[in-house]
Amino acid sequence: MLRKAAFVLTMLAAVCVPARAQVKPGEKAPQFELFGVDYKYHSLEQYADSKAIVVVFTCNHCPVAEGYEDELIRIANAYQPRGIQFLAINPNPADMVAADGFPQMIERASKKGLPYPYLYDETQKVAKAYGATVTPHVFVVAPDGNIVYTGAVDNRHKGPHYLADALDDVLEGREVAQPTTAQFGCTVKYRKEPEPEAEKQED
Amino acid sequence: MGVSTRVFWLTVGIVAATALLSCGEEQPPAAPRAELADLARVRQALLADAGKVVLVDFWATWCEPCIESFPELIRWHDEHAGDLAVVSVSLDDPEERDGRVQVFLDRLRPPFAALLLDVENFHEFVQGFNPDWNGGIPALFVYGRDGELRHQFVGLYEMAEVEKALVPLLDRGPAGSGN
Repeated sequence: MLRKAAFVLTMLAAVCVPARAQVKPGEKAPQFELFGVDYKYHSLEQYADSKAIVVVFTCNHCPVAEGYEDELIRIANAYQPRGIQFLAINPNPADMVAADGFPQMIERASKKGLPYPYLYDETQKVAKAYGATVTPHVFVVAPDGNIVYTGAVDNRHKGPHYLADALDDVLEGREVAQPTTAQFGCTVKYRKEPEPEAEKQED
Repeated sequence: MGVSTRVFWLTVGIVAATALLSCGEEQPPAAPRAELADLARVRQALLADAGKVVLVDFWATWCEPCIESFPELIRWHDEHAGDLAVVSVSLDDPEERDGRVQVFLDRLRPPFAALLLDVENFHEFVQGFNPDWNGGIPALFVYGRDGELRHQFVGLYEMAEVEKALVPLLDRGPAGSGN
């Protein structure tokens, strides 16, 4: 079953984002469609009616990401009933970190009872499109499709609680007071880009 | 000679003999205890080695690539003693000062400053230290002999590329930049 799912992932993962550096507040959030631990595809577009979408790049193996799991669950449980959708994306493929493989994601989601989809960015295209650098790395997308916050969940497990504050601002119709904060976490394990081939000299 | 005088000279003899015997043995450096540091302390550590090339390494015990590259920093420091200074800044929880952080320092015994970040607001620290840095680790900042930031490596960089960048900075000859 899992092998079949992995095959489906590889063959069908439809990621409609061009490669780009990093999205900043005020810019359009890159669209994506990724396979989740619930064996369904989830796209940014399908949650367009939400009051905001929280895209959080996270993973299994990173102790910082793990340390923020309960806090993210708590925030999701507080804000999802108010119309905000959470989407967790693992940007570390199994060939880079075995503990972040799809079967391990299913196990983690089941163990923690994640109240939001946990998606596998096996090609890393989505992480690259957003410019995710660490896990956890949060992006908040407003209903108009623009990024309104990017950065950390909070100030290293104490206030200010950047993500919750940004969501309060969105729900109240205010501009997000602090749209960017420094990230704190483990580096996303990007595959090394292939070296560009040297141009052939023509005689 | 009284008993107390004999005991005194016997003690002196034992201490002197022990000192002589241990002369030839190389004692491993004592493990530093992580020093809690804010932005001002990190800047101070950076300025303490004026005239040297300085590496400021942000790491944490939970950061696998950071742990893997740490011995290389020790090697460079030892190989370029007098020309290269290293300031290591751990982003571990300050509560781990005598826990995980010290266990790591005890094992590797770095011969350079071991700071442990203890700040009220991490975002403000990052903005104050280097606004171009996103706060992610591993992060290694390379300063020339003149104290100017010359290179910054953030993420999964190769230590070989850092070493390559260090060569001209360490070169004191007329061909090298020397600063």
